[in-house]
Amino acid sequence: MTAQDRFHSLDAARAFALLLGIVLHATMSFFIPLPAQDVSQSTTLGVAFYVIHIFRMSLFYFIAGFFAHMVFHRRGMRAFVKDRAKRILVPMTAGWLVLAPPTIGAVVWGLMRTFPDGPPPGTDVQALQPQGFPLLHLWFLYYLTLFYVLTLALRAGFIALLDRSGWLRARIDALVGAWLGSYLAPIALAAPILVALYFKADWPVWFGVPTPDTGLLPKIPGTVAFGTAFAFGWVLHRQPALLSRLEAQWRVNLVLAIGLTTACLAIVGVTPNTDAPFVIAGPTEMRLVYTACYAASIWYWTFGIVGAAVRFCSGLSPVRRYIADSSYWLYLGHLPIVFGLQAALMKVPLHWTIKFPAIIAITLAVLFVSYHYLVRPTFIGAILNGRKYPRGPRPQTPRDPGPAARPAHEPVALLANVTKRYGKTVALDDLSLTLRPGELLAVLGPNGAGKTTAIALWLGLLEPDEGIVTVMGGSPFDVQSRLGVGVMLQEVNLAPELRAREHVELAASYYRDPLAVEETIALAGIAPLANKRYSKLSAGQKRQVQFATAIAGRPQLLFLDEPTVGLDVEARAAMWRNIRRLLADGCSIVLTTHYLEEAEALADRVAVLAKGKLVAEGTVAEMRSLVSRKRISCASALAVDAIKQWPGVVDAVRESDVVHVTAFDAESVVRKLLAADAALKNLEVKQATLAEAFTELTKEAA
Amino acid sequence: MNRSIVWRLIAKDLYLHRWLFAITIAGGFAAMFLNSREGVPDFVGILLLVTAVVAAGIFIAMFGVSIERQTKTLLFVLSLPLSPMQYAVAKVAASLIGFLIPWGAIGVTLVGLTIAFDPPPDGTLPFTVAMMFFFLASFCALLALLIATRSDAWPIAGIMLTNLSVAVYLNVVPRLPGFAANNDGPVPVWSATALTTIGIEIAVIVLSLAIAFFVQAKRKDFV
Repeated sequence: MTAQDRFHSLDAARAFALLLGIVLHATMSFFIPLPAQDVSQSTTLGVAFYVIHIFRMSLFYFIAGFFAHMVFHRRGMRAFVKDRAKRILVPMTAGWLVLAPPTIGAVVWGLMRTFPDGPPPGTDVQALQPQGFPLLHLWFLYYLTLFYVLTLALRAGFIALLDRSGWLRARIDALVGAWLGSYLAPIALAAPILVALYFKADWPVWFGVPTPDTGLLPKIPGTVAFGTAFAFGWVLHRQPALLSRLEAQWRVNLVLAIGLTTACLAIVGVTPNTDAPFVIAGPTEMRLVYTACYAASIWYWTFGIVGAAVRFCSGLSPVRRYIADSSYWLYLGHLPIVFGLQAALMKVPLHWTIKFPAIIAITLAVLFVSYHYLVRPTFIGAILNGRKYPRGPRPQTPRDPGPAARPAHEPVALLANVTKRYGKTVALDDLSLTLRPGELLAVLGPNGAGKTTAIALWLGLLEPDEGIVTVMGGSPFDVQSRLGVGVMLQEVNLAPELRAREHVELAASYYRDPLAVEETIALAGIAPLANKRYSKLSAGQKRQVQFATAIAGRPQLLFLDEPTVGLDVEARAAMWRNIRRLLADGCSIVLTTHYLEEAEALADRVAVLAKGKLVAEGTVAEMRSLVSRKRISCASALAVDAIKQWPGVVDAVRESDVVHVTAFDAESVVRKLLAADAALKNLEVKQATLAEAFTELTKEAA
Repeated sequence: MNRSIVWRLIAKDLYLHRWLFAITIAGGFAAMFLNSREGVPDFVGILLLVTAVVAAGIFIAMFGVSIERQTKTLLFVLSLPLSPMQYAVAKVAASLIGFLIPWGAIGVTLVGLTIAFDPPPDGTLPFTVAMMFFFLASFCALLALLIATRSDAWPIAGIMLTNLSVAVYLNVVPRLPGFAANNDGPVPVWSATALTTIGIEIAVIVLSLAIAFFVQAKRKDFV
């Protein structure tokens, strides 16, 4: 796994932190009267808030610092500043102008509904007023901007004044590496925030690091806590391979985080103490214990989640990528919706287990839809995601080059030494079949020979007990391998409610590069049936529609299982023409049929199965030659019963004045016929037909 | 996973079942309308409501899964370029969405009417919510049974069992002290009984779907 791969995991972790922010804000009305006090209060959601609040912003800033270092060193100072201005400053300022009115409006509405008679007696109204400019939840972008500026300034000074040679940076790198090798790095990183919180007399202990969402002057706890995270992320990117150490430690870090969080909750309780928010019950040392546990838990959570993300989310996943891209927009836009819903639903007499998920679901639904249609493909997406993602069909993967481009020796479909059993019955017994590019292989055999089982194996409907099965060079269980495969099975039905055209449209939609619907309809000869419901069609017409669905995906490999059963003579001839056209276009076809003249007319090669075994395989001519019998016809008055008794004669029948004799030793029988009947005329000797060869071969196998 | 084909299969199923949704929703609204009419006994509306939701579940599950298998339409679907798990995801999602449309419409309207009008008292809300979740749990259990089993007997047994359980549920659960004590009250009380009942129903939903996917993932033969 390369370092580059791992950054997918950090994208996922950052999205996780942002989405948790939505959850955190959605919990508020269920345990504190902000922005509204819900009629259904919940300690569970209070605890959820407490836990999420411990780590989510530190996690976010840690990853932000990591990526900031990456962008800065990949693209240089000028591009970095330009990029950050576009993706941070623009959303912050524009976002504030758009989001502040509805957010503040929702809060005011919620508070007015909660306290219709004004604030409760004894409330410090002054304390309720915003203490400075209301940054809302966009404070995170404001602090991010501050950290960028501060980091670039400190970096410039550090290099210019202290570390021109890079020696000190190398020592810091070594120290970071050594720290991460132990489980003590979180404790060292927790020290600054421990000091900042412990000495803050008006620290509301239950609420952890106070959210610096008002005032433009940086607040010390927030600056220290999040600045440490940002700085450590920046430094860590100098050695991205160290993420593997967090990966190795993720379980232990999360267990320690949970343990420390439990200890914190045991000390301050599961609900905030609104009467004495700055006080921790118990001896004075308890404040130090609590602050230390809290500060350490911030970093154990952060390391644990990052490690878990590296462990489980390092690969590229389109779904995760989409969510990661959308998370920025989701977080920016969520607050007025969440607060508005909380205010609207606060008096609805439903339990919080219904309202809380409903608030999150509605918020995410609105934001995901707006992201997909209004953000991702527009200039807003270009600002937030760094690029636009145009709507419409995704770029298609290159088409399968087709049999013409496929090496001649590479089979299009293969069964190699395949055995398949149904209980004690052996359906296929060490069967090997190969379909070469561009040919039609007719698979013949009596009922129960294993033809359908062979096709089912090729389609991934069955798994072989032994042997190898491939289609288009891959496993039939691999969907990609089957994208070039069309199928017309014998015993299938299509949805009876749909019209023939709808079936073709639907079938075409399942493939990447289908034929045009009208072209398919014309090729299959079903134009007169196109607007008829499937249930209204005759058996033969249904087969024609099934053939149309089989070719709709522009297949390079086609399985036709008894395709002409139920067709009239004209339709069968049309089907044969279509099959020949597909072959001419390079399509490879496996055909099973009971009509031996069909195989004789269409097949390049024939495979005869009996009792799950391959009895014979070759061209039609080769198959005929396998059978030594010949057919003799002549106009004669000889009695057929007498002829049947002659040596070498298999059978003799009379049709009017013509006698048909089937014989192994045709030459001897012809001589005897001529000797026995001087008036014999119209003598004709033919090689056995495929039907006779088939009968002979399968009889021998039985 | 080729999400496009999964979505198309879902869309196809929803399109095929569109009349069922309309009929079920109409039946549910008719039930609620009847219930609000004076002179019409309460049980008539409730019976119609239960029938509408239960019948929708049975039809969606039967047409979507069982009939598709019996008529060999399944073989055609599986011959398409999709994996058996994609088929299971599409089938469960389509059936669930199909059921959730009428279920959601009826459930939300029922809850809204209960809150907006008096009678019924708001105290009935916990049981109403529990009952709606029971319907959903019954549907999921039936759906899982149809996906997990192959014989024709199981669907019949499943339908009988889920139908019988409706009668048992409606007779037993509202009489539980946690519901009975609060049903006539002016405000909903989310008692431990109510929350436990809903919790069990949600657990049944999750477990049913998990079993359906697990069995499908383990299955090797589809002929």
